[in-house]
Amino acid sequence: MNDGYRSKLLRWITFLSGLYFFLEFLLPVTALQKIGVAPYHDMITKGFITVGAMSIGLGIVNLLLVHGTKIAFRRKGWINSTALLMGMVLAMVFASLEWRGGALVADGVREISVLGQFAQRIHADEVAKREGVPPLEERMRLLKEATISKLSTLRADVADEPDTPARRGIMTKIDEVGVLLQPLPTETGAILTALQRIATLLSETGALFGSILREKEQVGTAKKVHDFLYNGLFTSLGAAMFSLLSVYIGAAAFRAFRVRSFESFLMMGAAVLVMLGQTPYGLMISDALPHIRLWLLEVPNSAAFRAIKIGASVAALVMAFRMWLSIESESFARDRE
Amino acid sequence: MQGIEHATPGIMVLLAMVALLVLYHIHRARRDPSKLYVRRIGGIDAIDEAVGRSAELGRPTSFCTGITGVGPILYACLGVLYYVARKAAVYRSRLLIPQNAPDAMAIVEDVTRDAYRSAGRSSLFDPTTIMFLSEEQFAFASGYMGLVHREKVASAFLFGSFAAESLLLSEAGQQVGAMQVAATVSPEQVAFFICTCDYTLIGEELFAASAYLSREPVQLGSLYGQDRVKLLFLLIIITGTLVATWNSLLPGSAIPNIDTLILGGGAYLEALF
Repeated sequence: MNDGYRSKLLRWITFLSGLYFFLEFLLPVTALQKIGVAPYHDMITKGFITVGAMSIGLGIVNLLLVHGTKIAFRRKGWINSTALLMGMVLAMVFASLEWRGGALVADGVREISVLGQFAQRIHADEVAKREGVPPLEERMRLLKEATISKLSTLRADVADEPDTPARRGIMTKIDEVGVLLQPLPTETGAILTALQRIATLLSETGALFGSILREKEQVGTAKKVHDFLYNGLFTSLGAAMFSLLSVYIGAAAFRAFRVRSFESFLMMGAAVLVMLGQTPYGLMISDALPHIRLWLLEVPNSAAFRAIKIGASVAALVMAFRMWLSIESESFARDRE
Repeated sequence: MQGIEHATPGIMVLLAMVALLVLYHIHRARRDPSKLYVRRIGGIDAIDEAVGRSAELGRPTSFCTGITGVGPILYACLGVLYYVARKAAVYRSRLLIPQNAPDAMAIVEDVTRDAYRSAGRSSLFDPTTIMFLSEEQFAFASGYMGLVHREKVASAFLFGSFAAESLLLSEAGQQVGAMQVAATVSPEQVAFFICTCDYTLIGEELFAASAYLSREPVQLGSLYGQDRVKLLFLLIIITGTLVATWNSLLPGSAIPNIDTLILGGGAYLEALF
């Protein structure tokens, strides 16, 4: 085999990557912590997954290539290809808009809830007498400025909203936060009590504002079209395809189940017993049928399943070893010019 | 039983035995592959017949890897795909390869191109015959069914991982009168394939198919190693059954069972570090 430097480099990368996960499985957690790898394991795993995400464009490129050439050269079925590509573009556009809408809702809520988290943090640091943090007065001043600015903007944003319980709740909480912040308490105990209350109020305000934003997003065009495409078309068509199975099972069974030998007679008998045991009619015939069905599924059927799974698992393990050591590709990768 | 997150000394010993058995038989196969016998598997012998049927009828062949992602199962299918693609190239028959996973599609395209090149028919290779349908299970099944009906395939290969869509795929081939060979490691789907396909390879026969067709030393040796590993597991199962029976009959003289020996000892390993 012609082993260029590229091939060798790929083999080494494959081997070292596999070696990391192999050792991660082999060594106990304490060993991984001693080496210093344990805190980074999640990050490393996500890094490998990210490499796989590069393939996200491959499917789209292939669709454009296959169906684009059909449309360009007006080959047989080009109208269907046009419909497919238009559907793909439509779904991508509205899925992106719907995602953006959700992101804007999350941003709107986060801008308020982060202030509540800041208030909680000030409270926790003061109670724990943590060192290395700015003075309480300065932090309270910053919290006050940011909160008053944000809540003024929020008041203006919801002023034109319909008079709903959520809007009334927001206005009430804004007023209450204003009372707590102006003027700022001076005594530490009062400050801590006010901080807890402010954190709760801001969190609740964020949730209420989020509900208003979500309601607006739900009635937006992007969401409606996306819901129609996904829930109305995509999910429904998937369910329709799944339902075909019931018809096909009947057709396949009628075609294939013929009693021609002793083994096929055993199989037919077992199938009849399991089907009768599965339905209420079985109970009408005999109380023993459900138990027979359970025994057939749990004993001989399980034994066969486990035998197949053991064989397949061993084969997959050996195949994984070969992939790791890069000796698998010899079977179908020949010399390249 | 839950999965095991970290190995124990018992698992390390088992893994080492598996690796040694496989590597030994690969070494043996490299020395003299002719000494390694693989029993005849009807479904694999039918591959030549199926591709030949397509060529005679002037209709395409389809090779579907189902919902297989990049992994050991895909690599097992690639060996068979390489063989089928070479045959299709030699017979100048169209080979359609619908795909579910984009990352697997890139590998499949590479293997198919290599197969055509090795048959000296590079000019016949058409990358648009390797088409991405959908990553969604039933959308993929719908696309495959449409493809099979439009193209009226004469033979269909269903090799890989399949779930509920298996019957949809195989029934579509049945409806157009295609000769179908299926292979899957999912025992739940095997029954559907047996009802609708002409030949079905069950479980590890999918992994053996590549070795059977190529007679390549690494694969033949691995196949032998796998069989020896299964004998080892059989021995462990029998021993464990006997020990469990002894322990239930004579609880006063209980012996530590195999699962305690294999799965225990994790604390000892932790203490080492």
